[in-house]
Amino acid sequence: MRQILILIIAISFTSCKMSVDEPSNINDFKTNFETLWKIMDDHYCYFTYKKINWDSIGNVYRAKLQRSDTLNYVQFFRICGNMLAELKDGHVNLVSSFDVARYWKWYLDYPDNFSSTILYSDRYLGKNYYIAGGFKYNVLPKSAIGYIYYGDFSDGFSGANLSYAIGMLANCQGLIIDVRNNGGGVLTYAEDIASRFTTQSLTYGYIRHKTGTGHDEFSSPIAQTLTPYSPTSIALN
Amino acid sequence: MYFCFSNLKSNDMVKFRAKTVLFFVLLSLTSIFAQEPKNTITSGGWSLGIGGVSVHDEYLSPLVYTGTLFRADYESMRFISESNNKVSLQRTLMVSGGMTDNEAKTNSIFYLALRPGIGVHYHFRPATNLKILVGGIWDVFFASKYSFNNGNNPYSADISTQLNASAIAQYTMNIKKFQVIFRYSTRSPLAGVMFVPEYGSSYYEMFTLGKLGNAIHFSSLNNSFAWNSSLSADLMFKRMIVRLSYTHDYEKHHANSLHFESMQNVFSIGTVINFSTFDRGKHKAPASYNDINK
Repeated sequence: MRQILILIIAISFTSCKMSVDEPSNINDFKTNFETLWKIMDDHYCYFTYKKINWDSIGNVYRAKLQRSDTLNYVQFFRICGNMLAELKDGHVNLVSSFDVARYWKWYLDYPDNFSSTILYSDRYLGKNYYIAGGFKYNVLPKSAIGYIYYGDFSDGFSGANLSYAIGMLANCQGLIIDVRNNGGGVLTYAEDIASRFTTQSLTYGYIRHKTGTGHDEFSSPIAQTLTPYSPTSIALN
Repeated sequence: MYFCFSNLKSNDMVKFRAKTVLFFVLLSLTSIFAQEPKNTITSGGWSLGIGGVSVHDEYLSPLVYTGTLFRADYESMRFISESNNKVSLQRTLMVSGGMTDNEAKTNSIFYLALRPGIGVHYHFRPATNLKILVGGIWDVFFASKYSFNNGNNPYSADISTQLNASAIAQYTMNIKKFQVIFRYSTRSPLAGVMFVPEYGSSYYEMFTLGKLGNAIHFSSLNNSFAWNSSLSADLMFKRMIVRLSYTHDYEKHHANSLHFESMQNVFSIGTVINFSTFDRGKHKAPASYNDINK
């Protein structure tokens, strides 16, 4: 009995180990390159849409890697970053402890259309503007135009913030909601704002996701619907 | 008092009512299990531990993350009724958390896990000082993982409820006048239900839009395996009982082309308290009473 128990205990403490294979050498450039290429091959969702041949791009940069006999980690990082830049995607970054490889041509190659200096000048918000959640707002000087600047869709706001901002500008003849210089953020914030400007439900887009590693494995599109704003009411008996 | 959710659609209202009914059913079941008999001796204790954790969550990263883990375990046990000395009711709670890193130390995942459970065991006494308990435990497992470098989809959760087979072997050793209770407990899930996100589905899509897709799975040994083992020694000092234990907690599951795995190895120290509720605490338990420790 005792031997059986000791055997069970020994098995139970030693038999279960992590089954996932780790890369054999995390400092090996070839291993890192192939891991990065495969992560993108499995997960990136625009290969077909952008008509990108990822196998071909992999071969081109694999050859560059092989041609370099004396490669340091900065050069290696640059090769990987350049491979990712072929995707022409501002949302794809490669992060290391010393640099972030990025594709910023989508805005660096175009003239600026935004200046934060002008934003806080007397032509726009001025000095005594209002702040409600992520909104900065005021009536444009010498006009009857309301102006709301929302510079980051990650900046949270409540329904009350939005109601007050719109309410304070209700007597204006027009309203500008300025979302320039915005890096994106939470989709529900965009929906919350847009829902104040419709009186009927609207389908404004579709969403789908990858369901597997194949380049064309996607779920069925789901309609994104905007519903008119309606405050939740609480009736007390 | 009426609460009127004017922007809830009829479907939402049906779901809301179903959830409300389910909540009250679970609450009622919990309260039935939670009801203490008038007279009982319960053995219960907390243990606090530190150890290592390995986490692999393919939704967040293809790599294994490892780190230090802090863990607290609660366990109590009593016979289900005054006249019974064969069947016991056990309550368990595990809370653990830690920060993990990948091997290159370029990213971290914060890991937090919670597992309450309730179990029933039948007591066998094959030899003097030896007790074997065999039974089942129903538990709910929740693990929360946050990857700091993931710009989009930085969060992943393991949610499951399982019926476990459970066994406990308990041996009381007398070393002169000093008593030590050695205890080995093990359990493994047989079947249950688990949540696994679809391969590239976002939590926004699942929980804000309510499109869970193929995220709820029946779990059994073909897609889910776990083995929790713990070896402890209760040192019976005059004024207190000190519990030293080592716990090995392994879990993996697979669905929707995604693999999840975690392993904890924890050394703990805690204390065990035997408390009796006899005549509302006015009298000591009679010697003839069924003591859960015997």
